[in-house]
Amino acid sequence: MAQEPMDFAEFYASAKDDCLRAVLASTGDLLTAEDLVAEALARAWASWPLVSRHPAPRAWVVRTALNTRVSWWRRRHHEVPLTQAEMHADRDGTYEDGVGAELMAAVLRLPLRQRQVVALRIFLDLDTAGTARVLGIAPGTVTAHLARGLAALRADASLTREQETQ
Amino acid sequence: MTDDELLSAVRESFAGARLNAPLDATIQRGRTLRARRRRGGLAAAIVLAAGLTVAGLLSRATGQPAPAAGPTPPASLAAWTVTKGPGHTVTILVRQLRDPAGLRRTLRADGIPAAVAFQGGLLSDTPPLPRTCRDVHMSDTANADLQGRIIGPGMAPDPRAVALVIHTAEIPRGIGLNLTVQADKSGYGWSLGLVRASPACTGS
Repeated sequence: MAQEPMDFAEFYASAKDDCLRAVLASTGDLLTAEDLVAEALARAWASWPLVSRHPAPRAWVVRTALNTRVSWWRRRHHEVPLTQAEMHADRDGTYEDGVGAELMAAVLRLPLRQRQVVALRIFLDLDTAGTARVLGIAPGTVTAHLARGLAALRADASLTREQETQ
Repeated sequence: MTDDELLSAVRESFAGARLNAPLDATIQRGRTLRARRRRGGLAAAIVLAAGLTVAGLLSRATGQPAPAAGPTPPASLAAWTVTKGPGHTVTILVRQLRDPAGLRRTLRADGIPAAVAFQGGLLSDTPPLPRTCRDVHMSDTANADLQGRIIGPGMAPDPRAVALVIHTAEIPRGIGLNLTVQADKSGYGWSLGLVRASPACTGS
């Protein structure tokens, strides 16, 4: 049965922050992530009759944002630094917008694919098959990346400290 | 700490990140994009019509036409299309899982050594490659990074299609692509592996 298309404003309100967090976890730079997600959401609006019927519109937005990043990167011929979280962090270890800098840094220390898999699982609640489709990799590869990513996060010293203080 | 608890902790750490772009500004930008796309589509239609009139043929490589029956795109659409773009890019648009060998030949003609498999069910329509094909002598990280540079998702005009953009200049000599496009009830998906570019792995 065909799913009733969602209103864009409703989708925007419910999805924008999680899409931002997923892209932020992948790029590591809040300002860049904001630009990418805003652009991807604008593209979603421009193609809303199609995107609203997509099996996972949030995943469409994140995939479009990450793809846009590749395009921008190629145009600008430089890489977006991945250590911006540490640069933007306040002295108390909290991102100025409330993002825990140490935990975020732990995520950013993961290899790109592990980071993306973890981000899609956390922020878009995608299962293995959905994550595989978004990233264009095999489901088994998703499982392996997720397991390695979680193991690395668990072993990360800063994350361990974070847990101990809780 | 369980996996779920760990994921929750990480999720909490990002809770303060919120997108502040106003909805109105997003829609305004969307209108600009839509208008630009319409202008581009009109220009493309004019160019295409002129090209067809002069040459009387379509130079773009396409797969077999789709059959008319079933819940599929219109019969006038090709099963897949390969289009060369600017900046050493090649865009593949797959609407139906038909003729993988034809797609492989077309990609090779565009300088992309590739093995192509279409998987509409549990089993692929193409035999798996020999194990030695996957021995490309690079670390998993380097392999993943290279894949990310070579290929990315494109903008499919229809959710029932899948679009891929290949950056041909990023493909090192001796490396080929092992491209699989899969379909299930929720839509299309694709996966990529790097293989040796050789007659046994990517054809000749």
